[in-house]
Amino acid sequence: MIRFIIRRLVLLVPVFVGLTLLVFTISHVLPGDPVKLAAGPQATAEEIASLSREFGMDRPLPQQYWHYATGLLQGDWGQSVLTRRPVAADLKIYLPATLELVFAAIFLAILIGIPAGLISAMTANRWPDYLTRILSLASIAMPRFFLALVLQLIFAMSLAWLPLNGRFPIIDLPPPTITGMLTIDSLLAGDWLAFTTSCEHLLMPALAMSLSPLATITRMMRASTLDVLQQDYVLAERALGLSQSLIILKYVLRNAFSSTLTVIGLYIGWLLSGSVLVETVFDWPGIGLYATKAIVTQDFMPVMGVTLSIGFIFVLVNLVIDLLYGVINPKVRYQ
Amino acid sequence: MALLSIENLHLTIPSFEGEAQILNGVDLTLERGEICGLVGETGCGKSLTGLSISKLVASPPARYRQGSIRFDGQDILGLSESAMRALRGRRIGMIFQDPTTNLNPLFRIGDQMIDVALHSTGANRWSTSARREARARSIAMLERVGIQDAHNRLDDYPHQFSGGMRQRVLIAMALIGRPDLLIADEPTTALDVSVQAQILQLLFDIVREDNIAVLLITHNLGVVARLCTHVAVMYAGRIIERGTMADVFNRPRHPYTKALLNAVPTQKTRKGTLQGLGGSVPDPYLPHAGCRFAPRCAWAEARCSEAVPPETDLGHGHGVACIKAGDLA
Repeated sequence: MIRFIIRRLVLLVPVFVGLTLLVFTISHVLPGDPVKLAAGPQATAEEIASLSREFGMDRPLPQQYWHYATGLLQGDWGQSVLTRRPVAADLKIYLPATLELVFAAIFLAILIGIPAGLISAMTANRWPDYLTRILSLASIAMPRFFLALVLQLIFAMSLAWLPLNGRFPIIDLPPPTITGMLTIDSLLAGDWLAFTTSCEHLLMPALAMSLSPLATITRMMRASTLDVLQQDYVLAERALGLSQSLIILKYVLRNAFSSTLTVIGLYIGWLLSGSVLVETVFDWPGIGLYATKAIVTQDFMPVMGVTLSIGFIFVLVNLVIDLLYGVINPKVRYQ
Repeated sequence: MALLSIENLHLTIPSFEGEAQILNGVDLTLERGEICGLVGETGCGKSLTGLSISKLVASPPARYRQGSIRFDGQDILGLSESAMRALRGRRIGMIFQDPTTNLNPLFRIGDQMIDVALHSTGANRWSTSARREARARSIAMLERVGIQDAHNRLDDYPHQFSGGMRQRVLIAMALIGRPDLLIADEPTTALDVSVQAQILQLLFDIVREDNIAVLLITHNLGVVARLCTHVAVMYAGRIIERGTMADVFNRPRHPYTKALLNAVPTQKTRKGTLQGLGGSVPDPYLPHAGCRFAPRCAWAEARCSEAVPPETDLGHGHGVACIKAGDLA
C-alpha cells in the first residue's frame, strides 16, 4: 500500500517535466510578445529591452526553462509580467477558491446522482426512470453558464434567497485563512455565521457546476446498476430470501458504484480546468478567471502555474480514487 | 399431500420475435425424501421450471398462462413477494450452476452468509446477539460442508476460494435455513470432474441426513443415475416421461428418453460411433399442434401431430406422454 502510493507519487515527476516542457514550449512559440504588452503602447525599444532583461526573456529558451524549473523546486513559481506579483502568492488565493467550488460541485453531484441513478435503474422504463433520463439529458445539453444565469435570475434576483455573486460579503470579516476554502476555514474557526454565509455564496455556483457531472453520474449509476442487477449473485441473493432493500442498498450499490468512481475522478480534473465560465458569471475569484486573464495577456508564468497545479491535483485526486477502488473491491488491493 | 406439485404449468415470455412458449404444461410432484432429477437438453425449460418454484421469474414480462405450483399446500403463483420471501431461504433453498458468479465478489463470505442466516430465522439484523448467533451457525454450517478453519474463512472474499469450495459455501448458504426443498440447478456443471463427485456426494449426504426433497436440474444422466430416486425428462417445455429411477432408466417408454439414454456413451460403445439424435429443438415461437417431439421421432405417425399426447400412467407413478407408449415397450 505505502509502496504503491510512493510509486504513484514518483510517477508525478515525469508528468511534471512533461507538463512544464509542453506548456513552456507552446507559450513561447505563440506569436506576440508579453513584454511589449506589459510595457504599454508608448514604450520605447530600450524600455522594452530592459523589461525583457528584467524578466530574463532575452536569454535562450532552454536557459529560461532551466531557470524556471530550478526556481519551481525552490518554491518560486515565477512572476506575472503584468502585475509583477509572484505566481505562488496568487495561486495561494485563487486555487482554494476553485477547489472549494469543484469539490462542492462533485459532492452535490454524488449526493444527488447516486440515488437518482439507483432509482432510475430500479424503475427502468417506468416514469421515474423516464423523468431522470430526460432531466439528465437536459442537464448535459444545457450550457453551464446559461444555467448559472437562470439560477441567478430565480434565486438571487426574483426570490432573493441567495446572494447574487462573490465568495463572501466585503463588509463582513472572513474567517482566518487556513486552507483558503472559506467553508472549511469558518468551520475550523468555529464561526457558524461565516460558515452559513459562505455556504450561501457557494450553493449556486456549485449547483451550476455540478450539473454535468450530476447527469453523467446518474446515467453511469443507472447503467451499472442495471448491469449488476443482471448478475448471477443478485439472483442468488434473492433466491435465498434477502430483502430487496438489503440487496439494493448493500450488495448492488457497492458493485455499481465501483464503475462510477472512475468518472468522478475524471470529472474533478475536467471541472478544475473548465471552471472559468461559472466563475465569470458568479464573479468567483478562482483560477479559471485568473488563468483566462493571463492567457489573454500572454502572461506565461501564471498560465504555467495554473496548468501545473491543476495537473498536480488531477494526479493526486486519481491516486485517491485508485486507493478507494481498493477499499471497495478486495481484488484490487495494492501491494 | 405432496410437498411440491406443479400442474399443467404454461409460461410464455414475449420477445422481439413474438411470444416464446417456454413451458407447455409441466406436471411434476415431489415428496419429502425424494431426489428428483429433472433432465433435458439446453433450452427445454428446466431452469425456468426451477426458478418458477421460487417465483424468481420476472413476471411481467413473463406470463403464466395456465397451471399452478403448490408448495406444502400454498399456491406459489398467488403469493405476494413478502410471503414468498418467507419461503425462500427458509423452506426452499437454491443452488445455481456457476459458483464463480453466484457469490458477490465485493463482500466477505461471512457478510453474505450471515445475512442469509439472519433471514432464515427472521432475526433482527441490528441485534448484536442475533448476529453472533448467526455467525456461529454459519461457522457450523461451513464446517458441515467440509470447509476447514471456517472460523477464519468467514472473513475471506470469494476470490480466495477455489471453485469447489465456493460451491460448498453456496450449498451451506442454501441449507442454513434447513429448507424442506432444495432446488439445485446444475450444481456441478462448472466444476472439475474430480470435484464434481465430491460435491455431489456431500450434497447427497446432507439431504439424506436432513430428509430434504431435492429437485436436481441437470443434463448429466450419469449424475442422475448415481444420486436420484426419481427422474423427470423434459422436452420443449413439457415433462414427457417421469417415474422412479429404475422405471425410467431401465424401461424407458418415450422415444425421446430412449434416444437420450442411447446417446450416453458406455464402455461398450465402439470408437467413432457416438449415437446422436437427429433434428433440432422445436422453435418456441411457432404455434403447433400435437407432440413436439414428433418431427424428430422415428416412430411418429400422422396422428402424433393432431393432438398433444396426454400422460399415460403405466403404474407406480411411471408416466409417459406418448400415444404409442404402449407399443414401444
